[in-house]
Amino acid sequence: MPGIKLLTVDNEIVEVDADTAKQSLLLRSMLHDLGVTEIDDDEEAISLPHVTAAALRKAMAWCAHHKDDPPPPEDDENARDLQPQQLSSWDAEFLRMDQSALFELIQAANYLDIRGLLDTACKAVADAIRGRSPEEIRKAFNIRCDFTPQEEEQVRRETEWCEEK
Amino acid sequence: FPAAPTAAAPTAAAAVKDSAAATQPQKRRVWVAQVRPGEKCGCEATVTASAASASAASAAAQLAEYCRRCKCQAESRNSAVQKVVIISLLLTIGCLCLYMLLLFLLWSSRGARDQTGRTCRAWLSDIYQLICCRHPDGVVGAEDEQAFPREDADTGHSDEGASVGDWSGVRIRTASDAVVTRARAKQAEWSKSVAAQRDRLRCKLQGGPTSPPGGGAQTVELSDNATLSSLISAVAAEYGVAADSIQLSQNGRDPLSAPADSTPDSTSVRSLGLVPGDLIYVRSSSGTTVSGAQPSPSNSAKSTAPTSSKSTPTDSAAAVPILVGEVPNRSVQLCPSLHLMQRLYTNTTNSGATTISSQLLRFTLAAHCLMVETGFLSIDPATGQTHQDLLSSGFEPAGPESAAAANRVLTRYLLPAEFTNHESSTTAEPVSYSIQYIYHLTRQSEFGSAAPRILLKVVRTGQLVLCHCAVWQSAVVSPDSGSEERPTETLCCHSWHCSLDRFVPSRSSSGTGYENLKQLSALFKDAIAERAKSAIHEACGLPLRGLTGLPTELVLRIMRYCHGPRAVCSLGEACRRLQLLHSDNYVWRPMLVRDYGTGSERVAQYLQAERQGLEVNYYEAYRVFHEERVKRRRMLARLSSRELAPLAPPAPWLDLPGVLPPLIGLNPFQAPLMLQPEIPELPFIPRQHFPPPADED
Repeated sequence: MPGIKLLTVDNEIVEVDADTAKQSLLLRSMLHDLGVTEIDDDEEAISLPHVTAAALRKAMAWCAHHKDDPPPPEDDENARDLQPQQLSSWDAEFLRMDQSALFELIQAANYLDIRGLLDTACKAVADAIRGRSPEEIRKAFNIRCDFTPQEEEQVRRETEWCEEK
Repeated sequence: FPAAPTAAAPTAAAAVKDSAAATQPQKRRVWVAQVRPGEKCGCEATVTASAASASAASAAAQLAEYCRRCKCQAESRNSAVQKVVIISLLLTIGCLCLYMLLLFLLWSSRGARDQTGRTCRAWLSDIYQLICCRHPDGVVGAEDEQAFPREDADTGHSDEGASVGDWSGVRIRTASDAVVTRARAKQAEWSKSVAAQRDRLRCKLQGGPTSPPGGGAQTVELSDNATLSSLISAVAAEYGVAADSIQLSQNGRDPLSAPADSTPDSTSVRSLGLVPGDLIYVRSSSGTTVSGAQPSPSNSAKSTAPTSSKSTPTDSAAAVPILVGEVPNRSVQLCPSLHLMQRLYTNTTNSGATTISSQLLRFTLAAHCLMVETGFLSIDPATGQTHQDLLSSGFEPAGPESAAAANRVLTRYLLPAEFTNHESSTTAEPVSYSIQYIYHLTRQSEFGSAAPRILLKVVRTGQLVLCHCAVWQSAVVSPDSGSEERPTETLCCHSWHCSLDRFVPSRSSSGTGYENLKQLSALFKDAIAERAKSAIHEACGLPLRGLTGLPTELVLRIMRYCHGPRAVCSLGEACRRLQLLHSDNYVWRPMLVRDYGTGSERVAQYLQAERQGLEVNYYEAYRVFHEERVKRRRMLARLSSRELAPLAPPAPWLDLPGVLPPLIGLNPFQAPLMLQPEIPELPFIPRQHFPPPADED
């Protein structure tokens, strides 16, 4: 199995399996454009300027586990597939990491264009958001409230409509 | 028999007495001759008029008057059948109740064991086999548990659990037995290999501080039955020195030598515990290390590639720095960075053990490791110089090639002074450690003394450990009062506590002294490290971290998966940026289509209008639909609660025409005008028709 070398933003060279890496549409098109078929040891590493090594390794681990999955459906404008779905237990365990690592992973998945991972990770964040009050969200995600009290009151009144069931 | 007068026998013949009193007030006497069973009504025998007062002609009439029982037609029915039926019914119900009680008792005590250690389940199976006259060998006995594995058994095979009900089969027992035995054997094999691997790694990590990590490692290939002397000569030939001038060592300290009762010529390499891929150190006989490290006596000459890699353990750890949060398996706690920290610690304090005995110290090491992973550099609180700078001035690696690797390792996992000064042998164990850091992006070279500093304090209180982290920005007071610094602005303070035993148990099952590292990493970083980091980012104008630091499209994508207006609105209330984003069409269009799109013409009109290039505010549209639905639901709830009240008198207004009919066949998505006349049909609402809610008021 040929491996390709990727140079991450923190100057680490991560060697990944080419077949796994092809789940990333960005890497796939890159490999296609470069015409890389055989990779020898002195091959220059592909530079990925927006991805940290840890996030890249995690993303590749996810790809390796999901390599047999069917490709996710295209981004449906009307998104009838937005029904709440439970994450699989492997994914839930995989995504049990600290938030900043999770956000880094989301950014990496976005940059590398791995749709399945991006959706899964965003769902995990959305799950953490659901059912929390604004104050709890601020606490959980370390968001500083930059409203003045009057503004906060006004915003609260504006979103009052969805309180009623 | 002449009976007592009726006045004297009130209960026995009360009815007779009454009628007698009515017809013969002057003679209140009744003789009851004989009482017979009811099915044979012998009135003549029951009531006999007295011979003296009754003539033969009037006897019959008198009898007819006295005997009331003959008129009762039901009297002749036989109640025996009824009795039998009722009794048998009662018996059946009673039996069923008893059986249910028995089952309930058995069910509630199915896990309990009696004095002989057998479970109820086992007893049941015995009884079942007795009933079925089956005697499978070995089923009855102390091993009953295995024969009937509980559903929550560790093997976790659901098909086994499902077939528990088939108690008569021996096959199940043997099959599950075999599975259990196989699994145990595999597990033992695996844990043995893990232990061996760990021992090897520990041996390698014991290498003294003088051995430059990543030094020129050479590979030596040996035959299968190589002896110690042939290994030494091969190594000597590789380095071009005399065989008797070098010593080999597996841990860099104790020389590798043959047992006392044999010579190096007769001791095979294998009996010394060396395996292909092992790393051994080469030292001169005088005791100084000749060459850094040298791996791999490859026992079989043919297989070289996978087992004899050219890397030393430190080198490989530097090439692939696995973060604490990435420890792959909960049971295998081999974390290179923590191992390196432990090694650095044991080297600086010269205590021999690789596993540090103090729980707090182990925890602090892990916390420091996590801080370093997050991007903080420990500094000397007095001089404000990072340990990395200190190191780069005084650290001289041996070879040019190894310098980079060694630097990378040591700077990444450098120990602060608190550890290097700590002498565990002389002083009592402190109850707290405090370490100061600066953030790697706000080094003093650019930020001067205004660089934010972070103080991490780890305090132990009983079995709890409390981590406290304070971030402050220091500033020079004034030029003339010297360069004295003082904390001027505290950026943030965060505290977090946990149980020590959860992460650094006093008796660890794994050899490293740590458990649940992944969890510790997530919790610690979320509670302490990342919060401090984002506070610094915010204060120093660096890119924001966390949810608010994500690009817009990703925040919107997350909102889109929130699956409900409440969650999205809560998010919108959190801060200004999210408030701006939360009413975006990207979030609300799919939600509108999902919640109200089925069969609704209005939604279809919106979508079509958008296709034609008009701007539609889906947030407002969703809000209108939502409010309509809330109103409808309230109305329905009011009406149905009135309807269903069972004892209240029928409300008169329900009979009014036109109120009830809409309830029948009501489509919740198609509002009948009857219920909400104040909301007209909205054919199409372009954005400009929706003034912001603030202007509405």
